Amino acid sequence: MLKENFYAAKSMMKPLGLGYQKINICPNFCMLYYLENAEMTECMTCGNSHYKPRTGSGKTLVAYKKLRYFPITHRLQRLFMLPMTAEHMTWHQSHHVVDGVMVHPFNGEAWKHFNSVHPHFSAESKNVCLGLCTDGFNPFRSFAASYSCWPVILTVYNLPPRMCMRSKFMFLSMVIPVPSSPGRNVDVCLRPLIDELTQLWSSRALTYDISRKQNFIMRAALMWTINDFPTYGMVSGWSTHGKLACQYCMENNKAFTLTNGGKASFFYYHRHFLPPNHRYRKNKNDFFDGRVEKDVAPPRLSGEELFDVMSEYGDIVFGLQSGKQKFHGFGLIYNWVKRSIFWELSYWKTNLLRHNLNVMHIEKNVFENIFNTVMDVKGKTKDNIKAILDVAVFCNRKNMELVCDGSWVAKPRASFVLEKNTQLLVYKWLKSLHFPEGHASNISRLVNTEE
Amino acid sequence: MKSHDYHVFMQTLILLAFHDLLPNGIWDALTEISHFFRDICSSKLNDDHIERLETNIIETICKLEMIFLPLFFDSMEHLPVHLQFEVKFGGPVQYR
Repeated sequence: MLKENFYAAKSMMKPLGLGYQKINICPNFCMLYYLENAEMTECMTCGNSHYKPRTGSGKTLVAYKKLRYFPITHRLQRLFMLPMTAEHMTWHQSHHVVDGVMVHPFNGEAWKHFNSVHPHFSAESKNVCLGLCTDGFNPFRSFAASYSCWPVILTVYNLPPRMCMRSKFMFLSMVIPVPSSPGRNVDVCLRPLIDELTQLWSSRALTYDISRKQNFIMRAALMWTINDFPTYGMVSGWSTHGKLACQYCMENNKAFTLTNGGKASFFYYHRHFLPPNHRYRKNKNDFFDGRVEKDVAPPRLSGEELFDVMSEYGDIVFGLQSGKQKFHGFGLIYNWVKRSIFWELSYWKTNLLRHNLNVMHIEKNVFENIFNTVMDVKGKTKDNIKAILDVAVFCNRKNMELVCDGSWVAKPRASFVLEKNTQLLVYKWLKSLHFPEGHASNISRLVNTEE
Repeated sequence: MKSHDYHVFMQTLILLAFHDLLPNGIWDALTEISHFFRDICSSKLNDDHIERLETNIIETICKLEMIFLPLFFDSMEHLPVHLQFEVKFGGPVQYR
């Protein structure tokens, strides 16, 4: 059924109704030209013009920047109209649950808690639970250029494991335009999505379910967001830099800034997470402060408590100046940079898990740190001169400190760093590796044993 | 390398690569952290196993603290402590 031209193909697609809206946006991410502000000619915050200056005799006004928004309601309704997906949309409540085994987010405590707090929502098994993912990527493949485009994707958690998280059932909800990352101004761009989610929670949408041949009133709730760690900061409103980077530990954090390295370190910090009578708590020799650890792990604040904290902070003005506005006490007692737009969802505070840490991202960074340090990769190792200087300040390890003898200084080789000839053995082994198809990319191609 | 390659490296290759090359105590700690990531990424999880993961990962990070230098411990080495909590509440990681 190939149409003769692009226009004919578009005309054929139009009645399907899965279109998108183009919403103009200030190039500095100050505001959206949306709803009552749609007709404004310049930005309320930075004064930038809405449209580009006219050239030639053309009458069309061209905006500086456009946000593409794909409304979600019709797409969710479409899932119930197709026989092949409609029956699976209630899988999460109809499948057999084995006690003590977790195979789907539905088995997690966050979902169970959400259902118990909102019984009117959980009573209708066709109501939709969503997850939101976003991250920046460079559409032109060259990582050097700072050119980033931000798709926002919604996933449907009603579906069974074999369908959930498949690209077919992920809905692109928004494309935040290039060339720069929105940073903490991401809230400005998310406005239409949050408005629609609020509507889907309160005013509902009449939907036809083909598998049961009946109409029902559909509602939808956002369970959590999924981001890597830098984006986590932009979305949640808790900056992920510095000593207070961890949103779970908050101000009860024991991280400190290194004297020579200049970076925040979470060193000798994990003993207080251990159970009360653990043998490491009594170990005075191997941990630098030489004391018995009696502190307990910091409490994780609930959604309601965080909501109360957040309501104390005022709104920030988005745009170019958003990075410069700091609440009193920022970086000392908390790392809040804004009140995230997600708190506007009335049920958000009842969610036990609001933002997810990305396991793959953590895994990648932990691996890189370990591998670069053990293999002594130049410029990337965490066993450099500054680290050794910090050993003298923070650790009780005489054998690892710099050796000074008159005019020369020697850096001792740490026990966790491999010697040059041993490193070569590892590289040669990696060079010889072959994997089954699809298990991993051809790692041996990336290894250079010559250098 | 793509991030999936780091995933393969962390869960399988790192143990084989450094076996017999690093002192036993260090290799053991690396094995533990590698197994932690392997366990937490499995698509089917038992409740009692999840409970055990939390104490194990804290103990592993304490072991790494005894081996590596202060500069090694940025926020990324701290975050695994909270991963078990998120698995318990949110379910298997492949959906999040």
